Amino acid sequence: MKQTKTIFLEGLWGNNPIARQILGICSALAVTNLMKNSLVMGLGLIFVTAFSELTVSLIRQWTPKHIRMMVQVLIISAYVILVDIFLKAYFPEISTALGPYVGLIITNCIIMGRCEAFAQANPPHVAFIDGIAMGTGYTLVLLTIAFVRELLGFGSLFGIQILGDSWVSWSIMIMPPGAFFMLGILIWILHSIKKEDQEVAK
Amino acid sequence: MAKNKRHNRYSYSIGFMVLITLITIGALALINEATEARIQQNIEVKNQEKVLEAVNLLPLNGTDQEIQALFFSSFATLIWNGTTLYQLDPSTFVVPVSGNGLWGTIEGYLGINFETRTVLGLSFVSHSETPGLGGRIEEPEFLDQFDTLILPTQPDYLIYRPKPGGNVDAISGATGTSNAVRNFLNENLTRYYDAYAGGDLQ
Repeated sequence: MKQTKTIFLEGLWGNNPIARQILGICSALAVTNLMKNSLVMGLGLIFVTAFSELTVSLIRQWTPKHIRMMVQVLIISAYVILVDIFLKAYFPEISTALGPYVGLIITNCIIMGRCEAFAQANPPHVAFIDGIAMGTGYTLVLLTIAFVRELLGFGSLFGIQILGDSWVSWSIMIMPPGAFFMLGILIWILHSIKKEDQEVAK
Repeated sequence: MAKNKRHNRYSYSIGFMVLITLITIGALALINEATEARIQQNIEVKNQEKVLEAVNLLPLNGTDQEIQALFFSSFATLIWNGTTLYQLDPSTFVVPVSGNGLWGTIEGYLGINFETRTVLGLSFVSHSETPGLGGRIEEPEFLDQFDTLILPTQPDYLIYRPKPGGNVDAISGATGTSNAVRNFLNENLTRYYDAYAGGDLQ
């Protein structure tokens, strides 16, 4: 139990993949102009990271060390294709909206990074929990960025109009530069808070 | 991990990789097989939506069943020269239009009444134009221009303003895509008009 709590704290805060490890930035910039897309992307990533870590951890004793990267990529891509097929079959609209980004989950460094750094050295259930924690940390950052971008850029949240007609949408927020500004500001804020944490601890 | 010597033999590595590839591919093939029909169905409904959109009959928030029912009750299909045309009434058709865009093939549907020489609407099924530039051909600002657009009696049927006789606005910043769309629509229109005048589309 205590271990689970530690892993979650690491994923959400202490070692948050985007804010601390600066991994998975590419997709964080690309899909965050709508809350809905960010949420689906996040759920996809939680699923893929958790199960890839589980599988990598399960077979780690039998995996020859020099081909472990190949094995990891194979496992990750299988799960990504699974997510892609699932979305195409049951959520065609979201599949269209995310377009190539579903397939690109495989290139998300978080998954590969966690498989290599964590799953290779830990038992399956711990690796699985780590995947969920890291994926959740990623999703929360995505949703935070998307919250600001969608609110300012479209005046809506999850497609529901929040701000009235008098609101002039900031179109820069829904374009790529808006993502860079938001991500930069967010990482800056998180790092400042974290630094204070450390100083207090001393 | 690779404490065991045999793990480092090439034969073991190759065997391991082949085995794990077969397992993942087998699993994915099964899942693909299981969802194939559903994905095909989604694509079909999407296509029918686009055909209905070309004559502005697409209901807002219609379910798949409603769309299919409306599609089958509205149109008679007609095969002409190997292409499927959808006939709404004796002189009104939805015809598939396609041609080279700036980056790749653009495919769509055009609703047209040949007697009154009126375009009823245009919809695009697929394209690979630059998002935000040429990709704006699928936005209402461009497509709505083709709702009840009366065509001249001679080719060229579509002319961009401010040229004399212009009837449509191009997308600013996307001249290449705009011209490509105009050219292939004009070619397609000429072809279908000749076929209609020649009595082939009865």
